[in-house]
Amino acid sequence: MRSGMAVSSVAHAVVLGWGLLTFAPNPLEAPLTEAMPVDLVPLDEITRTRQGSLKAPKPEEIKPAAEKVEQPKQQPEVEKKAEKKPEIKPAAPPQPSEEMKKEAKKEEPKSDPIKDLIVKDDALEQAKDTKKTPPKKEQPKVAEKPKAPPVKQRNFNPDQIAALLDKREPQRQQSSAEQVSRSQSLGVSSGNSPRLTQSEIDALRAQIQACWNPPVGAENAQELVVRVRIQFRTDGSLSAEPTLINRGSSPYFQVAAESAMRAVRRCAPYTLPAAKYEVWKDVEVTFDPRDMFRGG
Amino acid sequence: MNPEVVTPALDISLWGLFWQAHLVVKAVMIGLMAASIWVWAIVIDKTILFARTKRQMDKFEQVFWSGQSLEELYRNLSTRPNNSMAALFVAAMREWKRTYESGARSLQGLTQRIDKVMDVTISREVERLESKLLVLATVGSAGPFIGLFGTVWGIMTSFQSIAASKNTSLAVVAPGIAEALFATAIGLVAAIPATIFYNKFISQVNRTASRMEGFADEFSAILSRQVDEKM
Repeated sequence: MRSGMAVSSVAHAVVLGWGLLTFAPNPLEAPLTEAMPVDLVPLDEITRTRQGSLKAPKPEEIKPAAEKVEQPKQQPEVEKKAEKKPEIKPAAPPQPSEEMKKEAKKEEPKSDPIKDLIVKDDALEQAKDTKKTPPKKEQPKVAEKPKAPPVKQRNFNPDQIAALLDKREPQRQQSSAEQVSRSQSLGVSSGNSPRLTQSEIDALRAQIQACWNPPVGAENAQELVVRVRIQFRTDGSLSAEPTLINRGSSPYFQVAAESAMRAVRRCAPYTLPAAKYEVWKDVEVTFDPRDMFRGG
Repeated sequence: MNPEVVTPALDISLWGLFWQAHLVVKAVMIGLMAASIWVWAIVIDKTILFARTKRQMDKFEQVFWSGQSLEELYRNLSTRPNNSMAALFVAAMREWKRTYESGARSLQGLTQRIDKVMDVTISREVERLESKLLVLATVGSAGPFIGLFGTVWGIMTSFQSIAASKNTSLAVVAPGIAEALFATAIGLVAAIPATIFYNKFISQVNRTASRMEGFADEFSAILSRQVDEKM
């Protein structure tokens, strides 16, 4: 019995030691493919903001931002320079001929807008600083000044460039249409492949949405966002069963996931631009029932 | 999805599976491991015993049927009957000689007495061969259940932890179930050889017993013929 016990113990120790050394799990390796995310949510929000920004009265919103940026202290100096220099200049250069004067008079309107802008800004500043003095009093001065400027325009004075420069800070505007589309980062990270345009993504989205019956009456719709990975063949049919990417703890999640998968299967094959097959070969689609309920 | 539920880097090696298991599961694993060691010790022991018994019985039968005088054979073996069949022979011969040496008048009950003595010897020898086989039977039948108990316990605790973390992803469920199933694996590792060797040894015990009974019948016939001749 002793010998049997010893042999048995040694044999077990050997087997266990061998097991400890060799029993290593091999992780299942899934092929690394880049999936393109497509959010299956109504386009309403994006388009609404875009239209809204176009219709919105821009100047009123922008002007306050510009006035705040400007520094009031520097303005008086600029004004003085602008006023003083025209007085000095006529003395220094030789008297211009009458023809030139006539031309200068014709050019008056051209030179005026910039000047006016500066003066108007100044006027506004002054109006703000001292509300007692009405801007109308300044207007005559502006009218008087142009008599000097023609001469100044004739002989181009580099010193005056500073005065002519638009001193207003670049204004921060609300995001316009270009910026909205820019924020939609589409395509794969490798970057050298063509991208699906927004309308093409919309087309795919519309095709899937037509077959999608979102789970009705489920509570906590925010937990029912289903992300599905779809792989296509070149003819737009599915090359593999759609796979779920995320999981949810909600009891209704399975229902939502099933409905999403059913939608993807039912609508195959899809019509997508064949030239960009590399892009939509592997697509990630997000099914968000919240947006459907909200009236998409 | 709970991104804040950080699952620690899980060790999925054999040692890691054991070390992360619940205390009950650990106890089950250790117990089953000990049972496995014990089973194999018995298996080795019994294999050697049965091989030796068979060899000695063959040798004895060869000697017995060689025409050697029974008296002489008895004189050789009486001091130390080294195997089952020799023990049988010695017990019967002792009874025979005792009856004759006491000078008993009646030989009527001698055959019955010899049969009785040989039966007792056979049952004693079978008992010796059968000893500890019950351990194999027990481990063989109870091992999977014990392992299953460890598994059920492990899965129970892992489901509890799932309920606590509210995360149903496979990565959370898998390690607990893997370590739980490890208990059943050890149970089966212990139980399968136990069952196989139990059946093998029981059949060997039965064969040995029937062989001894056959010899006892033959020897009893020889002795009763002798008794009849003496009468």
